[in-house]
Amino acid sequence: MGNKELGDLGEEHAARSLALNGYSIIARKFRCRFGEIDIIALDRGTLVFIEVRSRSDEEYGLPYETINYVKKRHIRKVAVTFQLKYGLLDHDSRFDCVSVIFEKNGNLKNIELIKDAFWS
Amino acid sequence: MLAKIESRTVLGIEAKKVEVEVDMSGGLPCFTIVGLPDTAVKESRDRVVSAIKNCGFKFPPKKITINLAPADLRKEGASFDLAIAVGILVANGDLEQGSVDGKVFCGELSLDGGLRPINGALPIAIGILKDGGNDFILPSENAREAAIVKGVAVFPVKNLGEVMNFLKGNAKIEPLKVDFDGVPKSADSFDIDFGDVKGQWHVKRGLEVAAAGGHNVLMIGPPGSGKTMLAQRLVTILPGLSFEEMLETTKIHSVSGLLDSKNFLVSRRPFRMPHHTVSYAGLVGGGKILRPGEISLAHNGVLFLDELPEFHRDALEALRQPLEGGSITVSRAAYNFNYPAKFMLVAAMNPCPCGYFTDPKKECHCAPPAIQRYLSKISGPLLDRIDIHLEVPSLRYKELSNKSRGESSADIKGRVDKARKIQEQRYKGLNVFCNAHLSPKILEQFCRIDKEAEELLKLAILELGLSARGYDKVLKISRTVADLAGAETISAEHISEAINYRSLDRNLGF
Repeated sequence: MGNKELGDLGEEHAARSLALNGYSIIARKFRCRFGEIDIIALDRGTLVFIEVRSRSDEEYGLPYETINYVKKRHIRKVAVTFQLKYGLLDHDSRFDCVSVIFEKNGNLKNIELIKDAFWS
Repeated sequence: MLAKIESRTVLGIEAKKVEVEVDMSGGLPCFTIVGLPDTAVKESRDRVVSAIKNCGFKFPPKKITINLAPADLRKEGASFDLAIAVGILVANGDLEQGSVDGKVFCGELSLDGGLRPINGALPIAIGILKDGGNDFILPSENAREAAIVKGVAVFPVKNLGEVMNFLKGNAKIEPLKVDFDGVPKSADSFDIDFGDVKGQWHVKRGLEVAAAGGHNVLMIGPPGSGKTMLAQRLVTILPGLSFEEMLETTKIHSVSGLLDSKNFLVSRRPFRMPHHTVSYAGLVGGGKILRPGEISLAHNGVLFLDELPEFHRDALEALRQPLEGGSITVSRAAYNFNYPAKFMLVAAMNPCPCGYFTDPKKECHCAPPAIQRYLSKISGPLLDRIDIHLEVPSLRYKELSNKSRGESSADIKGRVDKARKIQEQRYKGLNVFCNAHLSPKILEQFCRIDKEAEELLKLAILELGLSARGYDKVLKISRTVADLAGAETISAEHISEAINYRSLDRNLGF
């Protein structure tokens, strides 16, 4: 399985899991010139920007460890762009992160939702 | 949602009101602190977030802006943590604004929500009283020190959870009261005594005169003759501190963070003995983060400079103005601070680099230019401010083996106290407290000498080459000697003793 496929599959799993957790998804793969946000959802009135990180078991380290300062800055910029576009700048917002881990054969091994994952 | 919490910061040794405004709104979560914060204040963000979470509250994912007003005042230190945390909880609706109005919050938070002590609790409490008396909520380690101030309700707290329960009305905290009459009793007990020093009776007498008149002293003698020992014992014969003096000195020690919950009041005269490598900023105060120097820590006490010529020249020269004015003003581009520095300077030195120039038994190996260089480190203007010069000879075997103890500190202190009382009454209303601080005009008025003494003084000027400056000094010292003897006018014996204390004027031995 290539990395792109792995990522798309991970996003699918993440979206399903979020829906089960009561999130209503309003956008997928929101793109602008600063980058992309995987999932944008509403969780009890709060606008949530969700970054999905997928990893196959062979790799070392946990998926969410790969979100560094630069990535956070990118996501933040995209989030502001989204808010601007829909006039949601004052809306309660937060950043969540979903980590998806697959087994070698492509089966889902673990999925984890981290709420309010980062601040800046 | 907006919350306003009152806090304080310390500028110099005075407290300054700082209002912590917390604004919370929707939007991407972020946390900014504005109002000229330094790094310690900026980092309070992470401490506050963890402390709030670890106390069982939810940290709101909101856009949080914190303003420390007034905005043009530079904020230093971690003491705003508590006010910021409480402000966030108020803005988040966990607390009512009404429950924090009229209260002042100071304290550093640790990650588990516990409170760490802050510097300057006493000046802050005094500042609160001046502003009209509020409740003061602060870490329990600092509580006793702040509770010295009567009229401010001091609430000692241990952690953020306790603060919340108190503010919500779930728990009661009794304002701390310090029983003050019990404190200064320890002030007179020292574990050192003048009786420990063998021989050297004339040096002891010299120090007694110095203590009685508040004169600065320079002791010159070979190594091992007891200069340091004698200087350390000087505080045991100085008169006790008045309450106002204690408060002033404690304020300075509080700002420097030298107090704790056991030692919360400086009830004895401080004795400061900085090492000779001290920088001028360390001596007179200053530095990047402004702190009082050794001379301010010695306020109302004794500053002892051992090995005087070894000190950096700029450090010594910086002493001139505070020795005269009793305070030091440290100027910065934006503001200046005034630290009180009314201290008695006691200095000790060897007569030459090897130390044995005046020793009758050991030979000195120093070349004359080396001695000259050594002595020239102490400038004329500094020497001018030192009234009493004492030569401390090395002891002979007979004096060393003597089993009898010298006079005890208590006896000497009795005489010193009496002499000080005389001076206090004489200079009432003149803003002078001891003979050493007499201005030339008052000097003439109060240092009346009899005929015989005048003759002697004339002789001393002509024969010993006393300078005009030396003349004034001799008069001041003889005034103190006369006060110790309880005499109204200065007579010949007082003058002759005073001349003895001006050995550097007479250029004897040098």
